[in-house]
Amino acid sequence: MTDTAALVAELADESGHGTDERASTRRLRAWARIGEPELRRAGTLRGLAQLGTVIWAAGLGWAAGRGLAAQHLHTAPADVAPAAGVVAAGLALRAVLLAAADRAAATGAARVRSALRARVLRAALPGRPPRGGLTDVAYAEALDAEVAGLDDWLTDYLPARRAMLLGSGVVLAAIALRSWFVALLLVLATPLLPANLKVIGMGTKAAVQAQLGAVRTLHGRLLDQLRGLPTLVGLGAQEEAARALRRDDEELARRTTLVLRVAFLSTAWVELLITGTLAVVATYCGLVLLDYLRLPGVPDHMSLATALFVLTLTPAYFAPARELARGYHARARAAAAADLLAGAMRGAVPERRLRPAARGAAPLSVRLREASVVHAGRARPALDRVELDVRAGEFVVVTGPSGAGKSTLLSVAAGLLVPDRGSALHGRERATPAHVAWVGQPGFLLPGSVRENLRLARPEADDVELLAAFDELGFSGLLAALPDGLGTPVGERGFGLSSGQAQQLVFVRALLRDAPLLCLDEPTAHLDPDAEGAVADALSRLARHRTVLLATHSPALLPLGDRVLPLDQGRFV
Amino acid sequence: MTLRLLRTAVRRRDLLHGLLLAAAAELSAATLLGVSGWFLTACALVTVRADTTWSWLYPSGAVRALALSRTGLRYAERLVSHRVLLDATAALRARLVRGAAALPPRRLRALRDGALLSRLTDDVTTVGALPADVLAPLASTAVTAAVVTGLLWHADARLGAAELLVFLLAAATAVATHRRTQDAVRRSAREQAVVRTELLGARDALPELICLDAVRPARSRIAAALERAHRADEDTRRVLRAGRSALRLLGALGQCLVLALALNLAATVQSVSAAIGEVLLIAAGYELVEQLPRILPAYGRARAAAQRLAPLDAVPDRPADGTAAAFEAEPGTTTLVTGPNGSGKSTLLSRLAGRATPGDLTLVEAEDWLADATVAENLRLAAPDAAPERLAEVLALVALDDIPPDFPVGPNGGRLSQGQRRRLALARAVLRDPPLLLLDEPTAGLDRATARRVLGAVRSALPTTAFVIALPDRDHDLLPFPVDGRIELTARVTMERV
Repeated sequence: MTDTAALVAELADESGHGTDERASTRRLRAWARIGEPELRRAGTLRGLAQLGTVIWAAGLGWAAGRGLAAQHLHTAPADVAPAAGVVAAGLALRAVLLAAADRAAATGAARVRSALRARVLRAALPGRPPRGGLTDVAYAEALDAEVAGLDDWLTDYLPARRAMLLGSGVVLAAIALRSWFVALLLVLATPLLPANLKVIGMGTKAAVQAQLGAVRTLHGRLLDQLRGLPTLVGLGAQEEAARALRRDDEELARRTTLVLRVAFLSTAWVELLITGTLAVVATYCGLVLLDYLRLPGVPDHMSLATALFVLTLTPAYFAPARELARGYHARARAAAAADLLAGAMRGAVPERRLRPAARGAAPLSVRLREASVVHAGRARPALDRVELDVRAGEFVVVTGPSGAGKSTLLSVAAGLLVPDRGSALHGRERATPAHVAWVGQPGFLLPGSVRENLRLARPEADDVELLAAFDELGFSGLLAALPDGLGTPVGERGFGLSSGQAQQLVFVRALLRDAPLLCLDEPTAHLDPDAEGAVADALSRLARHRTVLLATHSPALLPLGDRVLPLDQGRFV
Repeated sequence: MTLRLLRTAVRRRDLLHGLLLAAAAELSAATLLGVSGWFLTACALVTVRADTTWSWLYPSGAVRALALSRTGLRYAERLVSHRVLLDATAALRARLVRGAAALPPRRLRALRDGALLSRLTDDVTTVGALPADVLAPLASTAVTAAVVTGLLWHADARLGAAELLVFLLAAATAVATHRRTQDAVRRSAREQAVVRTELLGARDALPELICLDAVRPARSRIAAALERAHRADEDTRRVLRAGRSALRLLGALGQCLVLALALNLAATVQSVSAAIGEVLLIAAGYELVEQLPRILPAYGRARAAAQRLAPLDAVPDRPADGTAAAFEAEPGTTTLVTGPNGSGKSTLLSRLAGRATPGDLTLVEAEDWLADATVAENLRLAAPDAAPERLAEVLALVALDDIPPDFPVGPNGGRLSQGQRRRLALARAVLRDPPLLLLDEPTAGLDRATARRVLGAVRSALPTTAFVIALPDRDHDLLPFPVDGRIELTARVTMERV
């Protein structure tokens, strides 16, 4: 998020009702509690770092006093070494405390980050089949960019309030000890600091609101057009698209500038307040030093050391408040990230471990009773009161046009999807993935070696068992084609293997899994006839001693089944 | 590279205005503190010397003027720099949208899963923010340091030289810090890429993983990669912290040098008031220098974004990779591209598509993009002026007449089945009525009867169009019309070492 976008977001939050903003702030605060001790310590250390500034200012005043005395008397060189030592010590103390504060903040933020990442990961890869959820890319984004989006808020913004109270308090106390009048001036100026980016000038508020609405609409339209760009190009409409985009973009820029012109007035006001106070303090101290000031009740005597001390501490008094006011950037970014993260963590439920069926267990029967499934956002059910009885050890092929509900039927039968109505049973138990070996479309491999991939099914298997599984399915040829045998690396999404080879490995894995029920979802959709032949052979071997449910279009696989059930529009026909 | 891209988008005059304003604002902030300190010390000096000729009016007026000008300059600077950012973003985006449009369709589509969007939004604004986030602070730091050093040099050459040395040392420290973080930043990015790959892979395999009870191992692999990325990030932060501490200490050294050199010598020509003013100027200068470790990574990010944008900016006339494919098809003919899996059917089609200018041909890919809009709106992308009857006609052609035209298809067509999505994309291509139509596996996800019917209807609806169809061998009987030519691709060695 750029500075401009953050500013606009902040203004929109302030001028809107802010219910969303409050919800995201609540969420953020709850998450921040994970790293609270460190973040607190960071704030304390940052506040204490102002002590270093106080020491520095005192050293500077001292040096000036000594220099003044030396110059006035025209004697020996002024011995400023001790004063310079105080200056250096003050700055060093500040550096050390700030570094310690940064380290504490980083540790706290890291704690929050890892906790959130673990939760997103659990939601992205739940041990139980998910219903709904976000797109794959959204989870990847959440893990990476969205969690990192909280960083500035955690490390800078959260500790800032504590740092401000403590730091400004320290500075004010130091000033008050030397000159109560200047301290009074500063205290009087403080309420004039706006707490946030409130738009000054109520007369312009309505205009700003209107512009903000337009900015949001334009932004949405811009994103939509960008998303459709590849299509528009493919259709030959890219010139019109580019022109429309440019027009929207420029209109967006113009309106955003109008909003910012008003928004920046409030930051300018903060600047003016600080510099103005500095000028007033400088003038007051100068007049006192010149002995020109004679006002009742106002101190009219001051040493140069004191004057310089209070002058140099005046900006230091305001600095933490200014930091806090600048936090809109961190705040807007974190609020945006928080909403996305909350979505990505939905579904991160505590889970029970599946107890996989014992190897070599007897085949199970599968029964569906009145099973219906309606996918979110669709009117027509994907499965419509389906009745299915598969005997133990039977091989059933489900076929039908695309969109008929074959994948949904398989998921329900495998216990991966609990039907909205009706029931699914394996033998007498409720259907559970623990009984199932699944072969998807296309078969899937994680990055790693062939051996690692196969051991996912049976972690304790040694190479002899793995090689035997290849033989049993008649895939010895595949093994010979792998350059490093079981150690052959498999890249991202099975890269490095042809789709036929990848699918054969998935079959080997299903065999190793040795579950009583085998579910195959279009296992040959991406294979050429040779590869399909090899797979069909292996399938008939796998089917021995197992119950098999196979969803397919392929005519080559239909004869394998004991029964072929045609499915259409979520019903058997 | 980064700056070249930026130069195409920002008017030099605007950029210069922004930089000048930023430098002037910071300079007036530094001098405000310096002049105030000098003013107080001078007042004290005048009093002890009983100098009656010195007037306090001008210096105190200068303090007030500086206070006002700092506020005004900051306001102007922020407005100008945001304006530059917005303009640069718009100009850059327009340029890159044209660049993207000139990409070969296959490459463009390879980017469609959010990659193109994030390049045209996040990456473009990152590059567009370069003047405000990097150039302006760099310029104001450099100008302030140069002016302060110049003033000191003018007062006392030795002092100026010493301070110049410390400033140069500080700049070198900042750059060295940035360099030292680079390795860790790269390591972190690499691990994040691993996390992404493994996560997407595991998500695709989720039913299989659940049945294998292998979700936990998959998760812990990702968690391990996350942990490695986290450690790399910690390394970066440690280096940055050390760098900032070093800069703060250098600032202390700079101030002590002024105190020692300007005040500690009997022979000094400088008054104590000048010396105090100088210390405060140096202090203000180092407040800016301290920020350098924050600014340089922003430059690194902008450079990375610019690198990602480069392919959109420099579009070759033909795809640079691989051999060129030449092909002639007579109007109304059908050419079949055959070959086993992995023999390069899709690659051939996209090469053909990449050579032609869009408009001459339409390529329907295996998974084509659908707008998050209604069926009719998706069709109108191809033919903006088509009448409702015409839309109904093409929908019937591809056997989608059971879906109402006002049915919203959802993001990426998610509310349609795979076969329905493919048929809608096909209907869109029919509305284009292109001279050459490339179809990549149009039958996947369709049952055989529907596939046959739809292909036949599309062929007869476009009698003058040359068809090039890639089909797996077993689906050849799905073509209900004669084939005029065949391109047989032989299997290449599909097993490659990763």
